[in-house]
Amino acid sequence: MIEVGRLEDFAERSVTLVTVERVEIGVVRWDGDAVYALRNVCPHAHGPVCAGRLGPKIVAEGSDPLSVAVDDTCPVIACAWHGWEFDVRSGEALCAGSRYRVKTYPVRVDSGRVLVALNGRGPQTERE
Amino acid sequence: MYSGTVIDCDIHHDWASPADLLPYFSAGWREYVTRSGGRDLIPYIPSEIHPNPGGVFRDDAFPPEGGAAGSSLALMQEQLLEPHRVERGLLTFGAGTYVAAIANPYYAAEVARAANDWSIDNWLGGADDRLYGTVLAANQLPEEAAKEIRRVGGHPRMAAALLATNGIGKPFGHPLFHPIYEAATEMGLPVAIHAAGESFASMRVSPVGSGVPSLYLEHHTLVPQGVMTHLVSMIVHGVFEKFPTLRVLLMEAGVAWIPAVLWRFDMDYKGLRRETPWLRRHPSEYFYEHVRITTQPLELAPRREQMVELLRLIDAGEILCFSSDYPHWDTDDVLHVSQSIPAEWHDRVFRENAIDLFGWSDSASGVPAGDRAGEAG
Repeated sequence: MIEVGRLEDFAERSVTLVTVERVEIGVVRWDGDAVYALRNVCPHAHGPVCAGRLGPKIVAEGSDPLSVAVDDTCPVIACAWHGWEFDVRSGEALCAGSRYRVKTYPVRVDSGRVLVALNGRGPQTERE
Repeated sequence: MYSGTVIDCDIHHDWASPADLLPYFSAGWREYVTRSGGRDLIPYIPSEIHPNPGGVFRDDAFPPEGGAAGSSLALMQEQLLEPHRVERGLLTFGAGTYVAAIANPYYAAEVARAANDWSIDNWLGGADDRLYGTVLAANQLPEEAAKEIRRVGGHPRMAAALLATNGIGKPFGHPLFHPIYEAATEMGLPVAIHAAGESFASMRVSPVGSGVPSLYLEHHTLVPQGVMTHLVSMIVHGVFEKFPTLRVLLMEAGVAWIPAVLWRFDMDYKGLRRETPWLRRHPSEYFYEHVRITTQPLELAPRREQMVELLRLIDAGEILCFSSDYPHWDTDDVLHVSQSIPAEWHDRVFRENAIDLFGWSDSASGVPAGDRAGEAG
């Protein structure tokens, strides 16, 4: 695994772009030591997905428009170009099921070091 | 050429004269209608702003004994029910269709109530067992419209609730209209939405985007716009999440616009999901599960195979329901539609899709499948 920085280098609820072996990766630190890594390529139109906005998933409890809330357990990035949303944890598109997926990479925090496995088994950026 | 029986989902029946409705008004409203209009009755429905230069009816559809087109059952039988082998027909009123264009909401509610009773007495009481009715709903006051749907929607010959004009200046997905959908689902009735409802002088909205058309040709070419607005609105507002058994029949809006709207709708939803987190599926999925479309006026493609190709794009064999729009000027007949769609779709489009929508039994006897109330429409 490759070190991309120390945990304190990444602010909570932020996305930071790093380049590892010429691959641009968005490192998302959510709450505490929850850290995720995504390839900065949107499966929709190949836009810079990690240059978009990060936030919790907006939900409607019971599908009721009067009960709009957030799911803080689900970090979501909305692509900078067209706003397509992806679950940062899995890379899956929120509204398109598993058809569209941003490639994700395994991340481990070890003694304060943030490590990313570039050739790990994370799903590929893909349009099935 | 299709040779079987058909279900016609849009037949405009009408009173021969406005005076025919007078016995169905309350004493107070009858006094209002007869006394306040000077020598004439107060008009039931306001004037459309775009007169068709040839009139809106087939020239041969006026009864020889006089009266409005669509007012003679005998002529309807001769011109439509017999030659087109209609096993069931859905009656959708004449001018009354647009009751929600009446500026006075209390008067509109009374016209709708009177028209429904008139329809039951004169058309749904056994005059012709092939005929089914729609509950005219004056949606200016949605709660009152819901009461009316509950009042007469249980009649064994009532097959749908009918909306056309939006009476409060908002598309039909707006929550103000939801009492209507609640009543319709409670009664097991689909909601039929008839096109062209906003083209009245009394309306405070343009019937199409970007401004009010000047000529009938503009208006009629763009009629599908209003239906697109209602469809998109209902899906965006989560009507089908809130009323999961609700079924909708879009009437008289044609079909060629469907792929363009659905494809754009799904595309935009992907980028705007966070605005409508109450939706659980793509817009097109709600459409295919909950919405059916009448065929008329089926667009005339330069070549038949182009139309077939377009219809295959949207799996139209599963969503189209034949309609004639009798006795209007742009009526479609069975021959035209049967030649425009693939033969393997004929049974679905001419009969089965409508049977599924209305919850009818699959027999040509016209007998409804028992008490529909409480069942999905």
